[in-house]
Amino acid sequence: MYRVIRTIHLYSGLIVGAYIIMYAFTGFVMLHPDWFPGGEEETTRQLVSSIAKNLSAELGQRESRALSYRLARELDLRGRPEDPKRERDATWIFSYRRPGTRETLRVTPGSEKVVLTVQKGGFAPTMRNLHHLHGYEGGLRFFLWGFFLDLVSAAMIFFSLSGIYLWYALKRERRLGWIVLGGSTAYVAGSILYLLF
Amino acid sequence: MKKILLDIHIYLSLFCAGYLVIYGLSSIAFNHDIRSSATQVEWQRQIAVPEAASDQALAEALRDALDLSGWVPSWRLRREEPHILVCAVNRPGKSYRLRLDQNSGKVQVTETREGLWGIVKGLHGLRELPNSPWGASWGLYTEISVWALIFAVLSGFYFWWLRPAARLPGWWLLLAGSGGSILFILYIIW
Repeated sequence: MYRVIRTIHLYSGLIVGAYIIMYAFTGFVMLHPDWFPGGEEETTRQLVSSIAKNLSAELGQRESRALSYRLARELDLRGRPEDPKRERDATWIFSYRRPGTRETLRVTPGSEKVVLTVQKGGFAPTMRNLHHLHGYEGGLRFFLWGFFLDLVSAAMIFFSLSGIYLWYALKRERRLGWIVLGGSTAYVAGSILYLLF
Repeated sequence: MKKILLDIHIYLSLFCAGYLVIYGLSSIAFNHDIRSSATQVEWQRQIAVPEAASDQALAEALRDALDLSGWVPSWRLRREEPHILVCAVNRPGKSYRLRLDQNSGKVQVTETREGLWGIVKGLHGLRELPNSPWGASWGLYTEISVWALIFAVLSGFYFWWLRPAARLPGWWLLLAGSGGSILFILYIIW
């Protein structure tokens, strides 16, 4: 049993190690945002879209969402589509987000000319976005991201529990371990109770 | 060398095990938008209205007078009438809507309890909590856990390297798992 758990503990660490370091590092950047470069730059350009040319001003929510995916494919926009918005002058706003980049497309129904604004964040905002990216929506790569996030989250819980088992099985003298584990567990449980009541 | 590193790996991990479980559970909760069902309670309190130079300062003084902890968001601050201040106080697991009558000193509080999931999600990246010394201690625990996690992964790589029989399958897993993850992270950003 000990060898099996130790092997899984080790090998699963090798599989998700890079992800864990990424989350730890991006978490660290979020704890100290002033230590890292931030900033933002914005560019705007005009593009031509055959989909926009045939766009109707009246679209339901489902149709507008489907359209945002089609526009992304046509114009090679790689972010996760957000809910499209319609302005008072009938212009449609399609937004796409990925870590560090926000693409906003302004589409006037009937016109093939669309305006694309790209906002690029610096290092710290990109790391923050990467840390916050979650959910399964937005196409295959965002689905995979959501899946890996679940995998790493489950791995965190597994590492903790299997680590406790491995310590218990490996060490004959357990007093220090009990003090450390008991103290930290009491602190976490106490913190939850403090916030609960 | 190995024994020292292994002991640090074990005891640091035991120290941070609680945070890692919170981190894992909260990440799953964020990924699937899991929430506890919220409950509301209302209560009233009479206070001596504090002196303050601005509405924001008054709201924060009101929070302190009620012995609450949490942030007072400026965008949820408003005057219902010239003598009635309405504000919110947010903290992991709970949010409060405060309505202060400055003439009478009466405060009506609507307390929304977001349950265990609200607390677990709030603890994910908490650095500090206004009007609560405990908040800073959790921020420190989080910081130590982040460093401990990085150390645990890197020392884990070292322990793997010390086991010749595990090197070949380990390389495959490392290349496919961690190598693939790095490429995927770059692909997501690109």
